[in-house]
Amino acid sequence: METNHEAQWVADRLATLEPHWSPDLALGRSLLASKLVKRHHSLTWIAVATATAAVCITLVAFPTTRALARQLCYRFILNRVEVVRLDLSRLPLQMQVTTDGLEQRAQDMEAAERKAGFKPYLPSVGVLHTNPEITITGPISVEQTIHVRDIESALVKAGASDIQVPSEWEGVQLRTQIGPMVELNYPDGVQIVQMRPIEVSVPFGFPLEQFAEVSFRSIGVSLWEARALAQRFAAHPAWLLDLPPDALVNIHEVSLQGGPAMLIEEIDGRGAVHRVSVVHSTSERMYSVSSGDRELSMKTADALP
Amino acid sequence: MSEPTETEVSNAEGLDVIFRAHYGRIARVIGRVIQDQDRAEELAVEVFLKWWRNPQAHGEHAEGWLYRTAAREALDELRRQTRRCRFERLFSFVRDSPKTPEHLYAVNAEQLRVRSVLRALSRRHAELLLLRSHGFSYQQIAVCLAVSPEYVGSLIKRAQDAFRREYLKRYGNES
Repeated sequence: METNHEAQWVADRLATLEPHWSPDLALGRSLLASKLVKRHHSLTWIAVATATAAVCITLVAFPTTRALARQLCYRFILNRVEVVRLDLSRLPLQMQVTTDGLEQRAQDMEAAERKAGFKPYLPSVGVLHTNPEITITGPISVEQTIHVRDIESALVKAGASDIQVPSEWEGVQLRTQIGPMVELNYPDGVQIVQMRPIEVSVPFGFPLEQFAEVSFRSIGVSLWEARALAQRFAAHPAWLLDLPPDALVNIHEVSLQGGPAMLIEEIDGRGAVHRVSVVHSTSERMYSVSSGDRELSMKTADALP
Repeated sequence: MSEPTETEVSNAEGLDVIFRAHYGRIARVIGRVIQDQDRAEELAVEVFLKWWRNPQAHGEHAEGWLYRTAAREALDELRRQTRRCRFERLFSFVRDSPKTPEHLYAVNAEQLRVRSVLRALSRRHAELLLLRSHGFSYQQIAVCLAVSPEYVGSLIKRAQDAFRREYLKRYGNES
């Protein structure tokens, strides 16, 4: 290693990255062998979308008095966003995710529009002064299958053994269509993500409100809280951001010119805010704007149509 | 992905040999940049698959190619993670965040800083520092990065200067 002080200073910092684990050769060879036969796409991002869909599905319900269309599947659109302090990734649902492609770069906004199938919006002139890197993701289709036994097991683990899961739920499939999503990344760290509202379809007549309540209970929400949440979302279907209770965030409701929004401040280990996101939606678009600065995030979000 | 071609099959033994010889170190090179062991190992396997499918990388330069590719894969993944992490705020706000109190409060702040600085450096500087910190000699680095050995020392010095400048710009002298 280098001997001078500055080189040592750099070496000391890089030394902190030394992994504290040992690679598993047998596992690696097994993985290699499987990929030699059939290469799998990385599931990292897909897992995110999967969890997202779980949020959509579980927390969406609609009034039982609503007149339902005479069709096999009832389809509805989510264009409203809310936050819950829960970890919905624990929902006991079998999920299958398919996509036409995870990420595509676009040279300009016209190319982005062609790839995404909708016209992405930029903030008003004068708000951001550089050109963004543009990426299009999805669309992503998520199919979730209910298995009664899985839900019952989760309920038992959560101490909610008072609940009976209807046997006719077995095999019911719930489908969600997400995106395409257009992501604009600016050199100064500002990121704008936008997409059309999420579309959800469920079998005609499926009791989503009841299902939502059972799902909440399966991840440990109390009876009355689960019921209240389910009823609330039955009245106002929404797509939820789930923030686990141990997440270090501050959440504020703020007002943009176009309506209410949520401002989410991420807190680092030293208690400082290091990222600020503004999440809002319109009838035709869902947005997330984030940066390292609250005012900049707000100003940028306000400059979107 | 289609089935391996005959040529690929004939190289399978060679792949196994080189995999056994270098997998551990490749995974750890990537693991310096990518915190998650599973992902680091997955990327390491991808490096070998790329090598296997690229006949031009075979032969005497195989080892250098593997480590260069590993460093690039790791740094690319680091940048992707940053973008993805921001992106996930919309879809799964903290899904990728650590969940235990131990992770939440005791994740090595210095590691985060160093990774953040590596992400901000040029790819070449980051590659140099990554390989050097993993114990590679100047000669080995020269082979990996296809540069003349006589320049490696000065290249590393520049990379170290760039790292130190970026670190101090971001974090001052607090650590």
